[in-house]
Amino acid sequence: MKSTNINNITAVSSDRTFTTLTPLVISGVRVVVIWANGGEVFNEDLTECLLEQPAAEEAIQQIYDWVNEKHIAPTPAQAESLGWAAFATGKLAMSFDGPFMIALYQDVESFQWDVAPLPIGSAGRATTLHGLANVVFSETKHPEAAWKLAKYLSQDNAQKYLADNNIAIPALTVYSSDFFEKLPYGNGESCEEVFLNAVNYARMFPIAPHYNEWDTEYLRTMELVLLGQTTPARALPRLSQQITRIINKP
Amino acid sequence: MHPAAQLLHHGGDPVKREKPQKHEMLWGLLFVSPYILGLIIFWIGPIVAAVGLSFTYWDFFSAPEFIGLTNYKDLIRDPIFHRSVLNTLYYTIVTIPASIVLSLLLAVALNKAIKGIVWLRTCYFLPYVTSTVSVALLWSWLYNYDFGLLNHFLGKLGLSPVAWLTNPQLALPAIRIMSIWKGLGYNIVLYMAGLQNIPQHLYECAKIDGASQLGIFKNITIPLLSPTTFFMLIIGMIGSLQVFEQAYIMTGGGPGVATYTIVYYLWEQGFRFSYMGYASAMGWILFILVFLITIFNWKFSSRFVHYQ
Repeated sequence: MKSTNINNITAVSSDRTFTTLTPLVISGVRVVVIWANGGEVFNEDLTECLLEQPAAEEAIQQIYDWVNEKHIAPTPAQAESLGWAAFATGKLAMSFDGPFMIALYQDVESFQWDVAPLPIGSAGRATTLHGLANVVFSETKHPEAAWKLAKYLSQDNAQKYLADNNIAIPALTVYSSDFFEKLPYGNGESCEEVFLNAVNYARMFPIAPHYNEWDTEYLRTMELVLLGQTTPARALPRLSQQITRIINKP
Repeated sequence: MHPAAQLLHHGGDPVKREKPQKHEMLWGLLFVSPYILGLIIFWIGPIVAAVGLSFTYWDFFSAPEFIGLTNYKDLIRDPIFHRSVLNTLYYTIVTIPASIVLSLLLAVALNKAIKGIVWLRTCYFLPYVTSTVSVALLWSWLYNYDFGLLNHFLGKLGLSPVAWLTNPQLALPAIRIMSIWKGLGYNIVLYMAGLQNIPQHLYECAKIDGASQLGIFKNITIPLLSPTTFFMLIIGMIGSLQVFEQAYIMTGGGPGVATYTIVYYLWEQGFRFSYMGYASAMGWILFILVFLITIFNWKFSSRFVHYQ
């Protein structure tokens, strides 16, 4: 499957209910559409939310149009019934996902799937890089044991385990290919190409302070936008102010 | 002491009452100690801790930091808290009367000795003994936009499907309907007990005097059931003001803040965002609200509660 321009997403073949699940409900992916359109969620030092700026507003308007104008993504009411495995159960033609879903898709029999880079926006390609990070709490009572575990998780055995079980693409590149070895449809090579190449243009997901709180605020507002209770132009300035206030809390 | 004086002294009881022996008191205390310990550890202790926490900023990870009345001042200015209070009051004001009226009517209907009545009573009581989480999940499916039974029946009638839980105007009413349905059984049982306590001769006299069924219901049944109604009002209000599971399971407080209740917002602030001080302050405001409403009901109960 070739990549496509983000603005050209339209309805696809009739055997799938919707083209795509709106990325607004996937916290790790919604910023991608904003970045691909040249917008930003936060400023560089994560002290100000920039959602009300034109590029970001335009990106969210696009998502709004997917739901309410082009009808290629489900409304919140319709999304109720889709569930989290909507793509694997044939209700979606495309899904904004990552390598973390491969283990699930592999388990579904007779499910033919492929991988493509996320659609290009007017500002080019964008994707987020999350990664599985192992951290040691600064005030842990067992620093040596914690360090020992963190060290083990970054070494060969653990990295190979991650790859063999399709948990995550391992950070040790010598095992990266193992992640794609067991993919069943001869697409291992293209999956590998897509995911590993994405590292070149990926950016870290912006984790501003009080993530749960501002993410909740964002989702609450976006729900009302998708329901047509308000528009991106009206909702985003207030949302930006609220998120800015939240991320600057002590 | 003169025997007559003894009678006066002991309230007419000529037998002098003995004070319990010290060891009897100790045994008594020993028997109630598990309950008292539980009360102190799981009830009084947390309440006292919540008072203290409400004046602090505490996020679980660092020590609580005293901030005075900041939490309370922030709550007064918090628009989401205002909305959750309004939602909770609106929920309570509609749910309780509807529940009382419906359960009264059903109790009168079920208070008959007809075949199968025990089965019917069981059916009405079953939702009450089922966990709220299970009932909320079930109703979530009943309300489902694509596959729910309610929209299925609407479709059969030629009507469009309704977004019960994703329409901001309908989500709270949808939760109310589920809560009323679930709580009917308990109220019906109370009313049936109340009905059976009404002396039958009153009904007989009324019939002899030519009173209509409606007149009997209005002038005998309802007044004599007023203590039961009052009890349901108090208990129902206390429960409704603390509604949580329905909002948590069925809507997650949404769409937007349409189904945010006080306890849901308290949970979100305390256990999702780790603002335990803020959540504790909210808990105390809820307590004061419940207390004031209960006092208000008690004060005006004499106008509509008639004891036999």
